[in-house]
Amino acid sequence: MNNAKQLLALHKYKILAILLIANALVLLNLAAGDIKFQQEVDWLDIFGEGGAVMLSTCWIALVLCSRPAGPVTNLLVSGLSCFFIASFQDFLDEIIRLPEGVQWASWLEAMPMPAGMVLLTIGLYHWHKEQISLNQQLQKRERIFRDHRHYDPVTCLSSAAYLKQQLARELKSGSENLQPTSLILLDIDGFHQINNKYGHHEGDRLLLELSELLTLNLRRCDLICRFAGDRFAILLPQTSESLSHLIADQLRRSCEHFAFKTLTGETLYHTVSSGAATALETTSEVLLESANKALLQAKEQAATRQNNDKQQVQAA
Amino acid sequence: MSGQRSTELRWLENDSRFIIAHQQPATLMDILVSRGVEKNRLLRHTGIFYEDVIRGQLSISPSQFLKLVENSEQLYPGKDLSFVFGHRIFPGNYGPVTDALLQSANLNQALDIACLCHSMISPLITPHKIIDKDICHIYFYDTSGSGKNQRFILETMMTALSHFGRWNNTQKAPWHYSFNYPQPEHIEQYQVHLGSKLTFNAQLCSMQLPVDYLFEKWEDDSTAYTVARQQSQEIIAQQPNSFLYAVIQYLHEHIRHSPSLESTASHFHMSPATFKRKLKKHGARFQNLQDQIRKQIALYLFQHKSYNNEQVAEYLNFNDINNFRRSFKRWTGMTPSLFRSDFI
Repeated sequence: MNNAKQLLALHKYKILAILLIANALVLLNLAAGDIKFQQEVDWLDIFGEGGAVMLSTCWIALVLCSRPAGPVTNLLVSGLSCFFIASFQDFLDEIIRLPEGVQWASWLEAMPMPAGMVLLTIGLYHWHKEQISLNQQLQKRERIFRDHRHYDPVTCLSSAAYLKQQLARELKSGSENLQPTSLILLDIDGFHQINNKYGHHEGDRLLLELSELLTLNLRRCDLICRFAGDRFAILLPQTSESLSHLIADQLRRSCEHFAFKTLTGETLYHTVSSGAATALETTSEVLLESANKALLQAKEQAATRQNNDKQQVQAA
Repeated sequence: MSGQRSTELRWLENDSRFIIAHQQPATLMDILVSRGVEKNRLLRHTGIFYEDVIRGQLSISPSQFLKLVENSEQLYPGKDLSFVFGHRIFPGNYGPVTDALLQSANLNQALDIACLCHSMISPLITPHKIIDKDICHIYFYDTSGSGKNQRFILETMMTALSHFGRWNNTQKAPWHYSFNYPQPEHIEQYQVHLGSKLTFNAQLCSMQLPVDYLFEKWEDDSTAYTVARQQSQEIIAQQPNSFLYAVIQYLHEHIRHSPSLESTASHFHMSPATFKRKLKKHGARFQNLQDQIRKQIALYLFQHKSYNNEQVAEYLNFNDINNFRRSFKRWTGMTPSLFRSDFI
């Protein structure tokens, strides 16, 4: 919600302009004509045309709430504003009787509509261009399908439910084309310590930044999701076991070298453990299970390594 | 608590205001707010005002807390709220109770504190620890009529208890978890936050751990622990007991003599009608409570004491073995013999 409020603040001049136009229309109509008597009014028309005004206001509000300022937004909003002006004049017509021979009123009803359509079409075309370039950036996060309900709010990655869905689909097509599918699970070592020491807010930030970093290290066809807690899952379609180990290793090393800065300016390094599994023909549950097993083994090794290090330090 | 002074408070019930709002409720609110949920939507119909919470003087009732939980579940984008909340409950800001937890020499001492101070650190659901020869069991009793939010609260407390000791960087203990509901879609949340030892569709919700882990040393025994424990005890002693938990404890102690509704009511100095009404207020019925406890004891005796049907029936004061079989089937959906061949 805060986000919507911030966006609305960005557009305050546009909103002001639309309100001014609406106000000017009312004044203009009142100056030229008189308010109709109750029996002259056709309520059906008022509802119909009032509805059109309401809907076009809604569209403008939705566009403003969801888009940053920029040329595409300007085009979309001015197109919709033309719709708004035409329908508003139409609506005022039902309440205010204008004398015969007032030319501007019928122009106001007729002209903005085609202009609005042209503007909106140009706007939508540029929006389409913009979306293509955004999709390229988003591809590793969402692949072919978009459903905003599948987003994880902390990292903006997709959720485990979506990954499972994609995994099942990939396993099906992989077994048909005789291509193995791989899955990596990746877990931050000692993640609870950062929550304990620096607060959960820092923990959430680390997750977000690591998710960006991991995304950068992936190929275009891969899909990364936040599995649960501090665990990420990465789906590697058409990937052999050796390649999946190579990628897991790349991810591990890049995380180790990532210097996370806390809000207080401290630098923290983290190691991660990973488990990979590859299969040609199996179910998503089985593949997840074997990746999970591999991960738990890796975590145990990491824990013993840590203990040994500690003992060595103590001995020294 | 000022409103309570005029009428003497004998029991903690689900409308007694004894939950300190800037402890667990505020933790839950903070999580939701950090995920972009607005405070006024979160607090809708709870009767809680954030200004009062932040002043640090407000206590709320279990019903209010439950409403807050219900709102939170609805507004939270994601499936992991119960686990995220569970991670943040301990060591917490419970004054001497937190001190006692932090100074505990081992898991057993920390669990003792949790069970002792349940009204403070687990006000909606009460953990109950049983240690036998080699396994520590923790059972949970609903003490607030939590209804549809019970699962959320259970998962929260399980996560919280299983991360005991992580504040001094000990390894997470390998608890085994049982849930009385089917495996949910988001099983990965359970695996990551709790661990891989999970049983769904179990008869009861519980946690189990080999006893050895209870006594693994965290810290040296300290005077600070003893003092903090005493102080916690004093705080708890000033409070009345939780009504429903007191009934459950009474039934546990007297279940072998099949206490009647009338005798139990008179033990609590109430007429049977008042007693029934009070139970109903907490979403409970006498027969159900009795069945729940008998079921728990029967399962425990079968699984961990290797009793046979006759011994269990006798222990629970059933005159007739067929009668016991019928009752067991009503509690669990299966006959005692089938249960024993399946689970033991």
